[in-house]
Amino acid sequence: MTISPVFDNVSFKYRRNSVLHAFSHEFGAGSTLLLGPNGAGKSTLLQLAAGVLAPREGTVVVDGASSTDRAERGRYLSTVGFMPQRISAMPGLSVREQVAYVGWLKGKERSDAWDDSWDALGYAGLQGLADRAANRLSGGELRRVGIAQTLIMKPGVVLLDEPTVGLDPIEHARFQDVLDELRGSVNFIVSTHQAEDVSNNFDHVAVLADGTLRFSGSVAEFFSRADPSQPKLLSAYTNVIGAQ
Amino acid sequence: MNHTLTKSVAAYLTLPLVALALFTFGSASGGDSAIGATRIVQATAAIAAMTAPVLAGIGAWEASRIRRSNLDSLGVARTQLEVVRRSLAPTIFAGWFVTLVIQLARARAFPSSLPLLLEFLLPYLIVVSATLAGFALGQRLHGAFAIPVAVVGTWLLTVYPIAIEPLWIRHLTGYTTSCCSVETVLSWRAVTGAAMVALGIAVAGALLASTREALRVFAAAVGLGLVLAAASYLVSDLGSEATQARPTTDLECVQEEASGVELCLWPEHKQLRGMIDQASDEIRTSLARRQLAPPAKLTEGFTSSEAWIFGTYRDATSSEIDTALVVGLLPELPPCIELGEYPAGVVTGVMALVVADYAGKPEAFALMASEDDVIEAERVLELSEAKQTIWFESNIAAIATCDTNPVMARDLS
Repeated sequence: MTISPVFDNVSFKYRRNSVLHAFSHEFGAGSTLLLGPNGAGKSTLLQLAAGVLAPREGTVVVDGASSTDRAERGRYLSTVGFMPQRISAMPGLSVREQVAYVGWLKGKERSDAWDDSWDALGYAGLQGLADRAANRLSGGELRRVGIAQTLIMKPGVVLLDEPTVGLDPIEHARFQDVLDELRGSVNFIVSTHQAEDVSNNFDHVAVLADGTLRFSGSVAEFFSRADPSQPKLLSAYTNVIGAQ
Repeated sequence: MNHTLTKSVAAYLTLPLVALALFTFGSASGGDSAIGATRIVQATAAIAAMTAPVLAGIGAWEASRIRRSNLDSLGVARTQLEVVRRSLAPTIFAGWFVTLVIQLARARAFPSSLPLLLEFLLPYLIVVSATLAGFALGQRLHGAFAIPVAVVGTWLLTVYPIAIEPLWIRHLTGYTTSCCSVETVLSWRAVTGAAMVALGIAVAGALLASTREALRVFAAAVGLGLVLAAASYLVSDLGSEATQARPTTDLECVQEEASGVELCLWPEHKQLRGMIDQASDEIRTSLARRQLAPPAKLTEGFTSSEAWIFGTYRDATSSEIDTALVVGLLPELPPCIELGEYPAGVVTGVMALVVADYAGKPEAFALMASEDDVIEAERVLELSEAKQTIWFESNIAAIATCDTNPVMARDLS
């Protein structure tokens, strides 16, 4: 079975503001870039997939477990790793302690969380900073802490919400290196509002606008939507967003 | 490897807290510090006033750092109650450790005390309630506000009620500073009331800390209100002191078979038994020369109006015991003495001096008596034996009433 989120008729709204309505989609295996303008519903979609938000209607299923089924929720949360837009340090904890604490929050026993935190730091290239106070890290280092937090459960699918926003070019490149190393070993969905993030490093592209999926396909299929006379990336994106 | 994962600031504050609580406990005064109940109360007050506010502040800090870390946006499998428990366990254990040290210090100061179970547990409850309340506050307010509000608020709520009316409000916080003399014990109402409030705050704090659902928050507020009302009702009959009369069954009585004389003392005063025995024998012998015989039963604590009742304290000297025994021979003064309508008031001091002389302990009131009383007592003692008997019997009766004029020495000479 493919370990990726399956949305079935999912609706969600913040108070009266409907974000998703009867949304159904099965994300494919491998890496997916979730593209869309600000306010398109990308973060909400990822938070629903992460089990942070519960759908008002419909279900989100990963590896046979539903996010809203109390009996399956533990397994669901350990299958899905989620990195939100804002990664914050917990005052008083070292980098390793913060990652281990997240492991415990996600359901690991204390000793397992501590042991596994070392490997997770290794994936994120943070073992050298393991003992540093988490609140003394740079923005880029904190994003990598976010990656380590996401990976400590050894999830089947990783969801990254705008992971490179605000990073300087060096930190951005370092973060991409981390993602590249993960590629192939885990399925992941990366949301972004920056069309220039589309690259052949991704297996799929999904474009969301106004809570509606406007496109889902391979990178090649995405670029095939471009007008030959226009810059390829911008044209493909504009055509997809504008298409009804 | 086993690791605590979340280092708590409580770990660094435990020793300073122990020192602070021991200092507060050691410098506490009021009541007879040799009495077990007094030391328990002082221990609880030290915890409530000094430890609880700090723990509330740590609770608020723990909540605020979780809030700041945004970790609940990761998809958390643990329940909020588990998160609260893990966050606060070091703080609560630190509080309990401080409590244990204080209680051991108390036990060392007075090893034979048998604490009331509830009073023994009260400081542990206070520790939990303060920590949880601080945590609930820290979840809802920014740490910069929550921490000082938790510290100062807890301290004020604990200590300030002793300065306001109604007087019974002070008994709800566990900060009891007016207990106990040897003939009183802690009121079960005060202890239960304080325990109910602490438990109510702990449960409400746990509910508030583990949920944001409006219904549960409402339930916590209503539940705490009901507990406060019930506890207030329980303590509303008490005055400023959280005490009640000590059961006289606590008295340890020894009866001399030959004479039938019985001496009953509180257990805390058993080391005074020899001195009291000797002094009372001397007094009985001296009074016998005047054909006066005090009751056969000499006792601390009110057992019956037929007994020779006196009161003393643990470190009393022999002269203080003499004075206490002579005071026990005097009739109880009527309530009208407080109102000023008491004609026999002019001879109460004289009677004390005369009885002390009859008891063979003339020095018992020497330092306390006024010059006029001393002169009048000398006049009485210079009267014939028959006239002294008339003076004594008339005035013993007059002193016990509010409307009888006394007999003066000059009336008999």
